[in-house]
Amino acid sequence: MSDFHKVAPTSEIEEGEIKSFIVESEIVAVCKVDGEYYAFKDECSHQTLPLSDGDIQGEIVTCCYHGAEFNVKTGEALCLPATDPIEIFEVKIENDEIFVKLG
Amino acid sequence: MAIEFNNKVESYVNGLPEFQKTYFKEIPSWLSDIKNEAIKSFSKLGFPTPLDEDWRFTNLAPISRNSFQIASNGISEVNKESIDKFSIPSLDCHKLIFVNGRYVSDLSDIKSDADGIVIKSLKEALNSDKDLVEKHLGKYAEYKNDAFISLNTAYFEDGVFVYVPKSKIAEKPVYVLNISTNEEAQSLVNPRNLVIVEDNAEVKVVEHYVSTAQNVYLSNVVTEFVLGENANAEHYMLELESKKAFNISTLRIQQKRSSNIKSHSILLGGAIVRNNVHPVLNGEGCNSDIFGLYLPKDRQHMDNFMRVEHASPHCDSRQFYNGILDDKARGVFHGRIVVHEGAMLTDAKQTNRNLLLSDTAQIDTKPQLEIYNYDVKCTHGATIGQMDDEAIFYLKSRGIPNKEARRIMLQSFTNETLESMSLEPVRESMENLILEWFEESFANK
Repeated sequence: MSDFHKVAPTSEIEEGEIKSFIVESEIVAVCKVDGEYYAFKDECSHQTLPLSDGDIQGEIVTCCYHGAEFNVKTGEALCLPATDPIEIFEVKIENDEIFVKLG
Repeated sequence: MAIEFNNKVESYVNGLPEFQKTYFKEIPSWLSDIKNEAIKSFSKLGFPTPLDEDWRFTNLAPISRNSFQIASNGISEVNKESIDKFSIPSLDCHKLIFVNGRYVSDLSDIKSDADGIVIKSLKEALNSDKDLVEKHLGKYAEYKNDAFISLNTAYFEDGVFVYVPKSKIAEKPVYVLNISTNEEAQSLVNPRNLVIVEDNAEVKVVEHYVSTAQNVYLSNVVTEFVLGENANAEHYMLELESKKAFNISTLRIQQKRSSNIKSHSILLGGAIVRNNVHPVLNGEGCNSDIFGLYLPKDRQHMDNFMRVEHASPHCDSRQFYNGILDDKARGVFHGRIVVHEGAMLTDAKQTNRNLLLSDTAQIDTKPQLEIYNYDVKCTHGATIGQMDDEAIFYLKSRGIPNKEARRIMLQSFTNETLESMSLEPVRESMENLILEWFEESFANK
């Protein structure tokens, strides 16, 4: 199993905001929902476009390119044109820093 | 001072004058012009995104948003023992060693060849074989339309140069070992190779990419292969980069009448890998056979992009690509056969077969035909599937243990492409690596 990677300080991501980071050779989006941080692969499962360009409402992220929607907690695809889930990464907070574990 | 690049295209544009000053003492004006043109193209094109149809399934954000710098020489990490460890055992060859894209003559072994065959570093050939290099370099790999070719053309420093004169046969293969070392910063290397095979001549070239450490770097390779009339050539691309590295490689083949090329690509390493193969069959009776085998696992992404151009009548081409994907790996096969106007009696075939060993592995395959002609024979086909349970059951019913049965099945699948290799030591070496891959895959299940 791979280790946790430091991504950013918690202060960098506001409530209801998504930011994208490069972690090793992977692109990871991190968002804050109801005070909790969630991380997922920054790629829509429909056409590999960045989900971090889209909007987040509650726990639903919407791809700004073709309107696909996903649950950021479970990765589940909620709306066409996406049918496959997005990949979710484990997150931990230590000393006000966000760490992400690539699966 | 190191030449650094960030996530802005301008950083690549601004770094070029310093790069030319630092790494070329006296750059010929024609080359400087090409490099300047190439960086202009790169500045217009930028890195591709999934919105570009040809990159639809490959997200390059980990490259375009990353920072790199021109690699240092890294030679202290490499010695004869490490070369022996990486090299293909028992391959009797001309051996050229490149460390971080730079030729290391002390570790290389180019056998003397009285037949006028030239094998040397491209940087050296810029002076010694100026006319040949100027005539061919950058004339086939079109840097005006391709971001990675333009980046390579602007920033290449060295590579291999092979020239086989008319009616000569290079008896020994040319083996090019490219080693990336453990750099403090993420490095960018742009190997550039030029192989010229004149009429009735013959050569075999093996490109091998490895690394001494599992670190992040970008290896952006361009190889131009020029084949004269009735020339025969075989090309091997053995990609075993670090599991965190990015490898973008382009093989551009220009063929004249009745020439034959066999190309083999074996992709095993790298985090994001894109292998472009682009032969142009530009003369009657050409033959182009392209074989590929890609085995991504963990989180690896491997994209195979083929464009086979039939520009003359009576030419044959075969593309045969097999992939085995495990864990959360992702694969892409994008093969396009273009039959130009007037290319009558073309016979082209494209086959892509894929085996998925896990529920989370994914493959996108997109065979395409673009035909501007009549009286041609073009076929394409793609399959995606899992291991055949009935075949495994059959083998088990003959007393073969489950693991061995699975290995036999996978081996027969990979052998479909490996069998086409004429260099036995290369084939054996790849078979062994693939067997190790199977063992690791079985151990994790």
